[in-house]
Amino acid sequence: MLRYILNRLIYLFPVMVFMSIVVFLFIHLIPGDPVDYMLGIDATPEARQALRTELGLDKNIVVQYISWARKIMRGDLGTSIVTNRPVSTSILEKFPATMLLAVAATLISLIIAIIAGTIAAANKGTWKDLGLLLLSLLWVSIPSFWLGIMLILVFSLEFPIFPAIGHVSMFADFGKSMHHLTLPAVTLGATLAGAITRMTRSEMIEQLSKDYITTAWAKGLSRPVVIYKHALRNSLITVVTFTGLQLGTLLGGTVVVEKIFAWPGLGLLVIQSIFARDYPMVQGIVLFFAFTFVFVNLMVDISYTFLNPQIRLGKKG
Amino acid sequence: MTQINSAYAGFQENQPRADEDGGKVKRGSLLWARISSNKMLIIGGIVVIFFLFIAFFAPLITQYSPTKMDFRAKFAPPSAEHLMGTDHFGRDTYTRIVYGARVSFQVGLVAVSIGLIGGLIFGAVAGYVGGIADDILMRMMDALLAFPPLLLAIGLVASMGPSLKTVSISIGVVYIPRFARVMRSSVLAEKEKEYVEAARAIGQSGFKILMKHIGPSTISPMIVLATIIFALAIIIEATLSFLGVGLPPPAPSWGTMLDESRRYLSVSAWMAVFPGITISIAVLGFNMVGDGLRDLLDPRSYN
Repeated sequence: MLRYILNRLIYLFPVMVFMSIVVFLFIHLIPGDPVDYMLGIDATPEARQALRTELGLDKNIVVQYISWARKIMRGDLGTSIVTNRPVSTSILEKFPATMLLAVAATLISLIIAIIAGTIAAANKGTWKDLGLLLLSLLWVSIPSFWLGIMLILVFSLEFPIFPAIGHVSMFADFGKSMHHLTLPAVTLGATLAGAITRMTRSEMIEQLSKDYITTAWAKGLSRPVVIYKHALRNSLITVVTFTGLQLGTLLGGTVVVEKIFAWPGLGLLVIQSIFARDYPMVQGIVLFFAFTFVFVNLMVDISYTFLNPQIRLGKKG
Repeated sequence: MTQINSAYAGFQENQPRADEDGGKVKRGSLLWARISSNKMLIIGGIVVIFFLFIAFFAPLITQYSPTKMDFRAKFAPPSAEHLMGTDHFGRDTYTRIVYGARVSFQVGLVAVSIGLIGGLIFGAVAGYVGGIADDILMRMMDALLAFPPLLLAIGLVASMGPSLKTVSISIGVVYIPRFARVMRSSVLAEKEKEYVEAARAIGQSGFKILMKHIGPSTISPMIVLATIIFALAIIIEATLSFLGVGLPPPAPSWGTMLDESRRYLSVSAWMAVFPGITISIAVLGFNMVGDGLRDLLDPRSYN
């Protein structure tokens, strides 16, 4: 097990180096002089030179990358051009709100999708299955930004049940926090729910065709026991793994959802930073999201190996 | 082989597994019979052809201009004159949606071409040459795959500046690794087969073997993937435009239209309704074609 984790880490190292190179290059893709672009043309020569030195733009590109990467490894993501505060401070400030949104969306989509996927698989080939399948296909095709707008239209403007914008900390007022969380979390979770439903359905169908299920039927076990206790339980590992791997979509989705609902998280910050031409901030947030994604994938991978007795015992034996 | 690699199967997917319905297709039946029995493909195909048609003949099916403003007709509800109403500048929503199809298809086409060509080259070289070249190329692909797709596209567009060209290129680059992975595994599967060995034995060059013998067998999985990526490209373009980092106004992008509609929800909900329905139907169409094609071509070859 330990060896396995070590192997994964060795594999991840070059991947993360390449990822950091991509993010590093963002600033060099800016057409023309990045300093002009960030500060505007009426900045003083001193200010330009200061920024140029700070970003290391006056040095060789390889030297630039190495010194940038060194800082990153120390957790220093640079300084915001707009606020002059460390990028990492801003990221840590905004991260909890994004995290709350992402976790809530995942939970909502898992619950809906596992129920829908199981019903579809248990009734394979019937109108229930077809209906749910079509619904999930429709669900993944609706862009979240449109769904968000429609939810605001119906539940905030026509029938003012939920607030359209804003965020309340969970620790300040739990009830109010959940009230504000509902629409954004549903919006973010919807696309995911469609994808997980399809995954659950196909995994359940595969499980239901296996020998141990035939044995279970032959033993005269009741339908709920066969479907929920046997098939669903064995499908869950795959479904949960798949959900973990969807985190990339989810993190991308937070950008959209946070903009619609004015949710003060990292997604909103990255968009604001693009408009403010605050490149260190944009780089920092993209890198942070990307590394978070890598980290979660690693965790999913390790827990999958740990949970799946076939893999775990196979390695030992 | 690894988790990050399999993450690509993840993004938004819709298509976790080969569908068991593919088994219904009878062996030896004519291609047409197989196509016509594939309802997903037929319905999706009709939707896609319909959008292609309006994108191509945009000026013929609407009398208005997508960018000309008419302040006397601001916020008009749907009527015989303005089928889907007008926006805050009095521009005809129906016309902007029709021209928006052009934008979506242009971006989709360029992005898929870039992804496809890049993926073909990287995947073929990695799979065929193997060794260190494979390791380095695939680690690079893994690195690109390890970014949340939308976020990578946002970062690239933010750096290169927003335009039709940069948006299309960025989306294409984001999806190169997915094509490369599918290409590589197809090449790997084919490389060891006897006929390829035979070709090598009679002294054919590596390039020729790749093009003439291995190439054709990689076509079906690549087509299936291209269809799915086309749908994703449409969504990402609309998303970037919605976020304000995509096509600059007054370009008629479906995403921009939805972004603009947000400010006027209480004045004119129509502005938000129609572009959203349009995107959803277009994306649904491509997803259905992707599902249908996968069943038709080979349920097992994908993934």
